[in-house]
Amino acid sequence: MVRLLAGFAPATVAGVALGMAVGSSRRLRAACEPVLEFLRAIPPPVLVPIFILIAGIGTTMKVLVIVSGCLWPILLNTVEGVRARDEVLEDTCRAYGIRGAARLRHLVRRSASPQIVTGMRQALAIGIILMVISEMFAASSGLGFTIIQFQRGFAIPEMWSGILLLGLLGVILSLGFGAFEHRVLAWYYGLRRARRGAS
Amino acid sequence: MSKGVEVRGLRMVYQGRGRSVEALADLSFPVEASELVCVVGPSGCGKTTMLRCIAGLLEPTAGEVLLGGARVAGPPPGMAVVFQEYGRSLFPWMTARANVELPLRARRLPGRRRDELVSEALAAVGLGDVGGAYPWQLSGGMQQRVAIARAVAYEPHVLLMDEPFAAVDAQTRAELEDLVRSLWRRTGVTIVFVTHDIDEAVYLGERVLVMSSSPTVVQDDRAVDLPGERDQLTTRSDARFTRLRTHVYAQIREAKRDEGRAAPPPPSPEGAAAAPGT
Repeated sequence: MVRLLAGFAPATVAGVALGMAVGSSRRLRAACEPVLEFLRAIPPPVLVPIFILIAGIGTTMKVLVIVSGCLWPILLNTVEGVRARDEVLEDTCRAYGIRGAARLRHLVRRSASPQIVTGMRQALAIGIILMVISEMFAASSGLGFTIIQFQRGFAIPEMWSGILLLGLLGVILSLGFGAFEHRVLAWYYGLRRARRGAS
Repeated sequence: MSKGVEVRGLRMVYQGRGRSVEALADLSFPVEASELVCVVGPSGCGKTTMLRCIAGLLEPTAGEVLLGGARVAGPPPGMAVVFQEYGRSLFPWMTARANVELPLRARRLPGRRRDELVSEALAAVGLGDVGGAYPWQLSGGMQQRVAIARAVAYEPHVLLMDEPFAAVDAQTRAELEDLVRSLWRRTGVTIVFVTHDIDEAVYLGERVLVMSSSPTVVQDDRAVDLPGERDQLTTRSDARFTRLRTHVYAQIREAKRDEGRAAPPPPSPEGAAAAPGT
């Protein structure tokens, strides 16, 4: 669980930062996009053996697996979001001398935020799966490990309880994320409602 | 405080695929400091292109724009722009107040001064009490008021307005016209107001520039000899207003006729797709 957050948080930060860089520059995007699509297409579980080679079988490996899975949806969605920013707003920023960090903060990041959140939601689902999978390989703790242990010991009711717990965890995370989403994107839902009402 | 603008030999050619479109041929005109100039022209004549060049948002193919004697290269400080698309020029994730405040933050004004300017500007456009609302919670006219407040709070030398009232209803438009007049009279800021509405140009301006159709030159430059204090009812029924309006209308019609005469043979569909909008 802690590993999930430890993987999800840096993936979010890196995904948003890289996504903003790639989305802002046409040349960088042209260079990176095919590679990114390729990397995203690799199912992260197959990377587990590689990460074991690089980082051993400890917590680092598990966090790395989660990062490697969570990064791509966030990154690619951020790129899309940054690209789709409104040109009138862009002109507004230029005309009023809003540049540099202020522009990134107030214009680029905020206009991409609906897509960023979508990416985070996908990443969270992937993160849960990867958390369990990484704990099934060469682990001595964690929910995935426990479920495998019970299964191997034919402790079927306990195994089911582990699976139920996992489902519950998913629901709770999703609810928590929904609350976060409504806070961050209140303006977006309001805007959409207003537009729909007008047309 | 306010500065004059001089447009010299402005020329803009858009390079399309295998075909270039000359939007502005050769535009030259001075705007005195503290003058309110309306630019009116047939649709598609490159009014917006010209305004974007003046604002430094667009690099002209040739010619230059001087702001208070200094050449404009990139958006200069002290120039505020009000765009036509109010729904897209305000940040939807910020309250009206934060929208007005953001350019002042970028200028690194101290907090107290910012508060003062923002409150003054919002009060000046009659929105003193809705600063906490988000733009999408406001009507179109109110959103454009917020955009005007943002421009006013910026304390510009020159205020550029690009068909700001084209998308609001007629009654709101009349109110906003009076608002612009009163702001201009109070602050003495130089205003360049682009519109396609002939009545609006004559009603608002101290001077009206009529542009020809594309490739654009200044076709007519006329001072408006109406009293400074204007009123939607009396001014619009004034004989001088009617005369000016008729004159400008005739100019525009002539511009369109010229276009018909000078028009090249019908362009290929691909060429038509590459033509820029106004």
